[in-house]
Amino acid sequence: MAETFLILLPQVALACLACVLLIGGTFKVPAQTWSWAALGSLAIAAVCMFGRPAYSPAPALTSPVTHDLLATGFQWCILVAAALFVLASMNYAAESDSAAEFYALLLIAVAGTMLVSVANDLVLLLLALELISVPTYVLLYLGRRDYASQEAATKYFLLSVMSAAILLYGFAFLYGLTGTTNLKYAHLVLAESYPTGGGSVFGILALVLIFAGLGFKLAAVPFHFYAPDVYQGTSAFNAGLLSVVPKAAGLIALIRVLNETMTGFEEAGERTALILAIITMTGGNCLALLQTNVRRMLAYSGIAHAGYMLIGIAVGFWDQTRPELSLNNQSSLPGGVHASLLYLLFYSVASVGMFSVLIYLARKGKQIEHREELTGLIRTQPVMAVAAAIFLFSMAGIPPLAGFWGKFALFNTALSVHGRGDGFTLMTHAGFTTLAIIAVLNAAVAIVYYLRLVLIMFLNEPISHPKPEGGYGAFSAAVISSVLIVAIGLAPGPVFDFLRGPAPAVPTAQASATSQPS
Amino acid sequence: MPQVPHLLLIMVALPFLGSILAASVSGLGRNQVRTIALVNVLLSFLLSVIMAWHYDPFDKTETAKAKAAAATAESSAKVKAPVRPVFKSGAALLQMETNLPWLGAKGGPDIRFHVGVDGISLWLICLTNLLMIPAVLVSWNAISDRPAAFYSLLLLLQAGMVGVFSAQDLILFYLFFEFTLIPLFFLIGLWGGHDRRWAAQKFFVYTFAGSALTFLGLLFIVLSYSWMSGQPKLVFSIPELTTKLPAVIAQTADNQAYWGRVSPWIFLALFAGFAIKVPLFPFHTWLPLAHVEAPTAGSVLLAGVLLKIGSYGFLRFALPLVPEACWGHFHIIGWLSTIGIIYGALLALAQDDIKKLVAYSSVSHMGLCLMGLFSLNIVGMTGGMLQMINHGLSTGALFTIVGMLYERYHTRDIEAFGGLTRKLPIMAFFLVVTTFSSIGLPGLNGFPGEITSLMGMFRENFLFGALGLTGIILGAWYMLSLVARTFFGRLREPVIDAHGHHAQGPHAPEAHPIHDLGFREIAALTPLVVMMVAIGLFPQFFIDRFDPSLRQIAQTLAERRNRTVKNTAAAQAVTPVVAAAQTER
Repeated sequence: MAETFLILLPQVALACLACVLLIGGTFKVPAQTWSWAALGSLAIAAVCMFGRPAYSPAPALTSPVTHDLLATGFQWCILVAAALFVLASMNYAAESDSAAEFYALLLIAVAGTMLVSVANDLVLLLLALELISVPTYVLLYLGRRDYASQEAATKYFLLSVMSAAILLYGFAFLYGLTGTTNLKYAHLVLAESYPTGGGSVFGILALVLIFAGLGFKLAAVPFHFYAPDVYQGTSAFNAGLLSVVPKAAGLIALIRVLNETMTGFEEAGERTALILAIITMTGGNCLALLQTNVRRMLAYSGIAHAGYMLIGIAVGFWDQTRPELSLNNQSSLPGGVHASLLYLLFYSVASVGMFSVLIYLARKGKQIEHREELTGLIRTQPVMAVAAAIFLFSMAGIPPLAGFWGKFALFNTALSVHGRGDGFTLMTHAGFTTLAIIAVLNAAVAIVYYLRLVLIMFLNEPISHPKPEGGYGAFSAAVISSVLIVAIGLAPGPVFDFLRGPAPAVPTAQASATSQPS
Repeated sequence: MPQVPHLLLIMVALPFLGSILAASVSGLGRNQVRTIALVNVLLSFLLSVIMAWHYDPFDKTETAKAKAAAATAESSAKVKAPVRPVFKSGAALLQMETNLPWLGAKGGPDIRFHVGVDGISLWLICLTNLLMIPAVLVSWNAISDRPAAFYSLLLLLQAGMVGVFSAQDLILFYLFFEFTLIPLFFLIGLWGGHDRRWAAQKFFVYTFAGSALTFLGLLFIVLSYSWMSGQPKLVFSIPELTTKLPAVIAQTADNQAYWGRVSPWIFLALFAGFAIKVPLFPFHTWLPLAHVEAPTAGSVLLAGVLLKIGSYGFLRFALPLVPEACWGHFHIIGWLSTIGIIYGALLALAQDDIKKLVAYSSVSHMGLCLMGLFSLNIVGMTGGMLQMINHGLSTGALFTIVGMLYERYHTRDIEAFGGLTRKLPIMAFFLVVTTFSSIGLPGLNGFPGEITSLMGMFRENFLFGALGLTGIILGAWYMLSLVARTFFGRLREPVIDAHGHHAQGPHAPEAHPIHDLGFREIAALTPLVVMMVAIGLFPQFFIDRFDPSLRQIAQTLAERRNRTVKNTAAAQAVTPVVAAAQTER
């Protein structure tokens, strides 16, 4: 009991501090104070992260929370992204009359996201996901009050509610199948019911429904329709938030509910994730080519990145069935889900940075809309132009930036899927090899629209002189993000080492020799 | 000459630091920045001279033994036989290494910051550092817009290029390989000609698309090596893969069957990136555009060094790692390079823009280089390797001269010039020497490269060799007619008005005196011409340095050619098992 509380301490602290901010909002204090208060709250949560107990090797069969490396890595990722968001929004919040509420909602959403990663219970997981959604609805309404923004908020609200319903329906099937809401326990039940794999119709129904419900959060094709409209309609800050927080939560929930729980359904899961990954990458990238609105383009690029992350999920299913062949064991390189997590981390930093640039360049009531508004940025705002180029090149996966290592980890896991038929005939997996090739071709498509933006910023003469009103907060958020991207790109070791954790047991040659054909 | 520890590391780091210095210190004038760049470039060149001096392919103890043996034989048989020094072999050829842990410091994939120089990379690194001198000097007055950014990007490009040739780790190689795109993109896009934006974009996207597939191929080699050897740790070290992969494949029949199935695909993946970079015939369309639009320094480096990354990639990865697939694609590559040689030459004949002519001649010459490499025997590979260096020198010099001409007349139209020898005798001298080098006149560097490339190909396939030979004749035709039309005959020059624009029409009144090459320009071209003569007169000295490294690759190629024939039966025996396993899946 005490241990559970300690594990939840960062989330509890954030929620409590959010309440303090809400109450404090009634007093007349300079708005900037609340930004610092929010940053302080995140710092306190970060300190609480160190107060958690050590990982326990036994699965948490009764506890509603789980405590492992995956959750820790994910939580740090979210905390860093949230701190950058708070920095980026300093001026933006100071101008609104509801700064305290704004930050309180942000903190609650962060607490919800962190809670998703530790949730070990279907009910808690659903609650945690709602804890992200509800503040997001309000945040979408808080900023601007024009038609476009209202349309965006309404659209997001309606689709989000619907996706929650679909997700709940899927959870219901899962519960019906296992008779428990505890995920680790459900895993054991399923492992016992389907020892040879194959699964059942109801289980596959649950799997597909959960994919659909969480696919909305990830903005995976074909559940992506809201994303471009909402990003375009809302403010740059909200768009940035939407490009990171729900995606992160959706990804970790997918890993928890599907990869780690639904054993016996690997083949169905693997195929679904494979197909989703391919259409999401390709759809996102091809549609991004057509966009002229910067936020809309970033929305589609975010969809494409969700597709990349799904590669890791697909490989994760594979790792589950044949742990002795997975890279996680073979070389202690990140396996499927870890590669996704790395990718998420690198994508988040770049995305936060890119939106910070847009926040910084915006003027009161006049955001950066058309990409031509960035024309000649290198002449007018050289620091921001260089930072933006770093983010875009990182998202495109050009070395030596962080994004390259994310792509490296993902391509490597996708290619690493192989089998040994008949005990010893070595062969590759056609599906995953095709996936890797499609992913690489997608990277080549993506470079076109990223490069087009760089071209506009660097190679054209400025047609206007923007007067940025984003303030030092957004400026420093962009600079810090770009420094992070370059630093991780040059020395990715610490991040890889941290997410890999202690070295896994070396598999014996016998284990790989006796494995079944793929 | 003094030994420098961590020489290669310093050679990568020096231009990088220079670039940061030029970019970060604000308020530097054009004079300061270009001086920084020049000092940096000269220092780098000095370092590469030190490197070439200390690079030692000969095994001293073995040579001494051979000499002693020859001496005894001589005394008994009374026959005077010349004793050739004995080459080192294997890992000893990789020298001046720096090997630092990078990603795998605490376990995990063993990606290292491993740089070193062997015979293949030695002259290419020297070539890079040599060509940087004209690149900086030719930009001396031509670049007045944002000089700090220009020289900083130029030095960044140098760091990337030296890095590509010295990297001994797959990921490090790929990192530098892609990284060279960024500075060149900006160099073309910011300081290029009229159509620079489109040229920069096309160049970047085209190259990136190919190299992304190459990356997949490289990763797949690493993974396959791990699976076949049963060793869980991923190995990214190029020397280790090159030396151990053949043995691992030969271990079991299963491995051989597996490798037989995947290696053609790996070859295609590698081919995608390197063939675009070279560029081989149907993938060359980005090149004339990028060359013509780039600023002179960009064209010099693009043609002189960056195209070599493609052929270097073939030589470093495709030939030693997937030799069977190289044999399998022999005819395809042979045809593509033959078409490239002839088609490129014909296109060059048809151009009326001097820079475009030189650009298409690059397509033709690089086709010849690949023809040499893909003759897959030691003679042809030696020729291909020499051709890489020669093409770098001659095309680098040609682009430099075209840049100087353009600086004077603001046009590159062949029709606008005539009889310039009277006006610009020094430039005419350099152009004529470079042209002779380019068309392969004996005594200059072009000759040994072209002749050995073709000899190698004649050994394998007469048709390709014969067709390649016509390319040389065409090459002499377009180059000589270029020189004849522009520098000989009746004097004809475009007229420059006071604004620097040129007006057509012969003998219009001059508003702007045209001077012959100054000291700076002569200094830019002299090192190139000196090297052309040096390689032309003493090719053996240069060949000796890379010969042992090439011999190892040639040996692998020869062995595996026989093995593929021998093992066809064995592979067929395994096939039913594979088919059964696949149906089961």
